[in-house]
Amino acid sequence: MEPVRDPQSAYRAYGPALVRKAERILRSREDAVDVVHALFVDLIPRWNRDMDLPYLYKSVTNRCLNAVRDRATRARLLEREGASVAPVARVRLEDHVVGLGLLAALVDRLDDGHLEVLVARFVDDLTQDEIADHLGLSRKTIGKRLDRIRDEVIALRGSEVAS
Amino acid sequence: MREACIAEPISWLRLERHVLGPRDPGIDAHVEACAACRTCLAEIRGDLVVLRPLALPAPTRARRRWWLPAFGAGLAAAATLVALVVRRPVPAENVVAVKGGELVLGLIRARDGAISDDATTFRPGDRWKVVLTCPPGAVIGVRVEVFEVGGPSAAPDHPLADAPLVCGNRIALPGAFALTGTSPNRVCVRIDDEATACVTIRPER
Repeated sequence: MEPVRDPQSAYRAYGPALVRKAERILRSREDAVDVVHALFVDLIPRWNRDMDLPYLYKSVTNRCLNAVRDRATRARLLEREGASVAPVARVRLEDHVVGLGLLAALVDRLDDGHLEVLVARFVDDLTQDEIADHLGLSRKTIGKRLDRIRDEVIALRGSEVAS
Repeated sequence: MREACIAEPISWLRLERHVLGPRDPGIDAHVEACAACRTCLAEIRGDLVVLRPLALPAPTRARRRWWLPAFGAGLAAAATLVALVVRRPVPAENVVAVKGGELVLGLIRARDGAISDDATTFRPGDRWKVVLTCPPGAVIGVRVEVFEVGGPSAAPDHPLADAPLVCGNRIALPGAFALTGTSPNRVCVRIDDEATACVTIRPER
């Protein structure tokens, strides 16, 4: 894939892929379009050729996680989630589809590094090797983070059953 | 929706890059055998995303002319006055009054990967998406109707499912459709079974 030299061309070329990615996390096309637009608006002044699709993918993950962290936005997205079409779930976490509900529950229990791995594995469906390459981390670190994520999900489910 | 991949799923990122090109033969072979990944690839290929316009900042000028804003404002005021005197407002067919303001109907055309938001002509293979601008926060019921002008049937097609819409700026309705025939097509949105806004799209010769 040829590198895209300017933000306008990158927006046209990669924007749809990034919107689809954001929508898989936020479960709202409208919010996904806003996230991608805001990202490019912020990137224009510091645009460089290294901002390829994988880089933008990571940026969208961070933006979406920020949206989910914000309590007001989270409540609004969760309220609308029921109206959206259920996503295709090819990779599951402890037999759960990682949707907005689970992400919202985990966002206060995991740090940014773990949440990035969570999205990469269970939303973007990257393999552990691909995640390591994508995030510039060792495969061992990815494995450890996935173990911790699983532990948190089990703990979360345990607390739900207990309450 | 639960879909099981036959092996390790092809990530969304790889599928997107495959669609953007160049094609990855390994992915072609995998999706041929794997229904789950084939569904994901079809989802990407069949999706039509309407992006918000991205305005690049204008280059800054080295010299500032202090009188330019005042001159520009004067010119704009004069132009407005002339426009008010000379021109009577013509109601646009794609604008309709709704509770709390007005609704503007827009159509987005996708043709061979090129997106156009001011297209007025169609040809086979084009895909169309409806975007609506209406008072933010209002919830309206929307029905899309397509008529072929002078066509064999007076009954409209309903290419998109009826849906409630939470209003905002250029909100895209879910789904996309194609226009057919050799006559102009009128694409209309009926709002809460009351007001209707329309746009006419003509076939290309």
